[in-house]
Amino acid sequence: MYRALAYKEWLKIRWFTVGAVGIEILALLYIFTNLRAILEFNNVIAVWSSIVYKNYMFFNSVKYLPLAIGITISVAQYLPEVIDKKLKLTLHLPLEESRVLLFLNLFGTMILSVLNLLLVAVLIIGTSMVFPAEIVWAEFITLIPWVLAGYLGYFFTSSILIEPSWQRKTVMAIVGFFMINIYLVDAIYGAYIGIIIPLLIITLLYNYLHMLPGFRFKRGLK
Amino acid sequence: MIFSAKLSRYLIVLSIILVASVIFPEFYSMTFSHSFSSPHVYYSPVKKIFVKTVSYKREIKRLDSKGNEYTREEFERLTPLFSYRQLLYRNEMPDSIDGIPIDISLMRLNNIFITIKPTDVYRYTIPLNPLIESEPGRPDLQMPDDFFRITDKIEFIQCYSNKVKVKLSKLFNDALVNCGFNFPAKKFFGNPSTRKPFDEGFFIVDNNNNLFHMKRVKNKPYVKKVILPEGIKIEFIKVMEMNLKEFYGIVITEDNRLFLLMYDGYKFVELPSKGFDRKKMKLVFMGNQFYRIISFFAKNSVATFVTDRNYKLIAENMEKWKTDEDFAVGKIADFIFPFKLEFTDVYNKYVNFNFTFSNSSFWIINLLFLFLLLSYFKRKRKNFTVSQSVDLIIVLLTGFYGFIAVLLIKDDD
Amino acid sequence: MENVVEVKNLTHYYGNKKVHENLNFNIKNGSIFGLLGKNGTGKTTTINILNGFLKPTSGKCLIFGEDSYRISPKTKARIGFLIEGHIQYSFMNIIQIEKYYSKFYSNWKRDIYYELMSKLKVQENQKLSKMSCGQRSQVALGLLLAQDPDLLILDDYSMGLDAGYRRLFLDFLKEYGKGENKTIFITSHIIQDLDGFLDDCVILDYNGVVLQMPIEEFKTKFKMYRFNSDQQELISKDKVINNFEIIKNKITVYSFEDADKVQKHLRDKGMVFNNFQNIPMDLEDAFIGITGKY
Repeated sequence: MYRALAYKEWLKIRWFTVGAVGIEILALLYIFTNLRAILEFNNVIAVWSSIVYKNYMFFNSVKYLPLAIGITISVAQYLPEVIDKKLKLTLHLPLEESRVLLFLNLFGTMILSVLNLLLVAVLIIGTSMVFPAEIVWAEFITLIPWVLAGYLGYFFTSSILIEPSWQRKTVMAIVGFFMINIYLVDAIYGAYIGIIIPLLIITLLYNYLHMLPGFRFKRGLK
Repeated sequence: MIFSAKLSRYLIVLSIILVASVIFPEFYSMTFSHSFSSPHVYYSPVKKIFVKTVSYKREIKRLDSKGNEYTREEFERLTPLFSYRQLLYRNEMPDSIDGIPIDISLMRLNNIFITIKPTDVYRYTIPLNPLIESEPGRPDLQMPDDFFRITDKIEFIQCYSNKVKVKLSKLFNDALVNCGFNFPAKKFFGNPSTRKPFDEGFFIVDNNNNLFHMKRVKNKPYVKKVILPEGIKIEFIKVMEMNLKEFYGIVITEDNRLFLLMYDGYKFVELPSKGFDRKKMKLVFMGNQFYRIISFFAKNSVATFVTDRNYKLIAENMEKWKTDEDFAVGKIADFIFPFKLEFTDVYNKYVNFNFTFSNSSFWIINLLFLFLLLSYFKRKRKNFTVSQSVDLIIVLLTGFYGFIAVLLIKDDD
Repeated sequence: MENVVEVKNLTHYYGNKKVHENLNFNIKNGSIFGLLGKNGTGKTTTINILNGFLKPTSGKCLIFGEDSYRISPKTKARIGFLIEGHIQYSFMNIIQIEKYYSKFYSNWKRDIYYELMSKLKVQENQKLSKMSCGQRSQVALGLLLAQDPDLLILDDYSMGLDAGYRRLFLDFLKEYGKGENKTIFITSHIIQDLDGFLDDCVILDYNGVVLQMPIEEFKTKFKMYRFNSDQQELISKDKVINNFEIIKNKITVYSFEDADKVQKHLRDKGMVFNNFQNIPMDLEDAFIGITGKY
């Protein structure tokens, strides 16, 4: 039964997923061709120095990409459910309601994970061809909060869409904005190194964020 | 479904508390806080007194410890070694101080100004550095075409190819091993710029907390082990190549002591460090022909120590001033906000959960909000549910923030 | 199980507005039950409670013995429900949507779905979003019939449908209803179609339940009388007269009492009238009679 559910979710988001892959490829192409030009037309040592001492992040343009993708996938998944309250159809299926809601969320996060893995893997591999492991590691540590912000964007968007009352939608939008900002602070390489594990745990907990809105939807609460 | 819905509710409530504890104190501070600038403290070799410049209502006042005020010109005459450019311009430069005739180029040679901020020390650093050729045979220094790392061995990585220079690396590695270096390196201190008179390479702390000095001399390794004073663990060294060639740099230890690492036999000369907190204070080291002036700048105080050129303490001074916490603005904030959360810190370059808890006065306000919530609940129903009791505890602990959170996301059962 | 649905002392408030107070009715196994009433009388609230998407302020609504707002998955499989407007996932086409739903129900009867689909002039890969209202309604119906539930809840099956689709829908429903142990709960505000289809009904107006009785009983007991009189001002709603209409000197009254009692009542009020007639009604007339035209 859950396979059928996955099938339906995929039908909703498949073109957005393809689009996201396309945008990621474009972004990666931009970053690496730009990097190539930077290395070609500048003193390579000066580029290394600006990375190590001046916080030059050649991959900076992807900072908000995971967030944008997270929000988009969530809208693609949940907007069709929220229009005309079509989520009722899914909640009426002969399945445990909380499991259904968690499954929908899991499906979205799995897709996000594939997309994020693609982005991070290509960045890391590409970088390691031109820069030593220390720079690759610093880049990786810097990317993690941005990727986690993507998941948070997904969780908050889902919750805001499912939540029936406008007052609570607004509250969650404000809270989501500030929470996500925590993951996207303007900082130097590795600034997040002390906080990666706590942020990871918090992100995992937020998988449950949409459960209260889902419950309130089911009970017809305003 | 109910269990996950309750979990979800507490998640949202805690998120609101978290966000509230960030934005309300910040908004309050943006609206009401004032800036309090620290005075700059100098020691006059002319009168042997401390003089300071203070920013007062957008004006600069120049005072001494007794409160006497000086004009700008008077002040400059009191601090000739610091203000020599202005004095020369006005032809007011004295011929001698303390019997020693003034030689401008000698004076310039001896003038030192070094600052170390906590953010220089407490930050993530990428453990790659360029080892500049220290005897280039040319008047200017040049950046090398490699960066080195020290993991289980030292490796020089050619920047263009991103490949290890095997021969050079082996050469340096043997030198380190022969000196008793214990891999991997823990910390690197140097000055990776070519805008300096010459290069003194890097001071490196190895895995056993020993200190080594490494230079690149005609592309060959110069490695010396530096004997540390008893019980010293190095936190940070600010390396500063100066034509004066008295010391390599300023050393900060893990127990807040300060030393100069001297050229002469790598001796450690201790500097006054009374009250110094390396994690929260800015260190300013000023030097001239006659004195060494060391200042520690904290949020509401600056301590200044003056030594002679033999590093014997001859004077100290403490300036304190009030900041927001001492005025109504700060006291009210303490009252309303049980704690505040910030993710960045003025003292380091990390992102972290930085909680600042108020003094105990906030419990009163917390109880007030608790009471408000209690009466609200009582109006709705006679007995309390378990979840309402939890809400009350949340408000007791987090006061204003919890109160908003619990009312915005009321329990639906 | 005797009663498939039991509504006991159901009370519901929207904020401070009272929608229901102590609503009570039962739906027997195998019956076809109608919830009738004008818009705004609480039909939607009742349906939402019944289909499990609204928890009542107080009272109970039991379906197959379980609280309607938290029905077990096993029982949910026995309930089919049509959302007002024939809401379905419109990003799927008729093949995808049948394939999707079939995986959730063990007794899935795909033949009846495709039989219904053959009557529609739609392409196989046509998305529901690109179909007309009427075609979409048939898809929704087809999915419900294929699910073969024991209880079918239909919220306003007629919305947006023209006569042809309405009839088609009802024809298939009637066939379905003939099956064993099939219970249907239907709401609608187009009454005429339901004549001859419903067994039982509850009629709501703005003050609550105005009638609750089997259809046959309602149609036999509720009567419409017409007469001429110039004393229109003496007519009012009371114990005998449920409703009345006045056009010039033609007065129509509705009542559960027989002709003699009504005439006597009028005379007791001091009315002079003539041409007193008992006019036969169909279900729609009776509905309007009891709820009024406004």
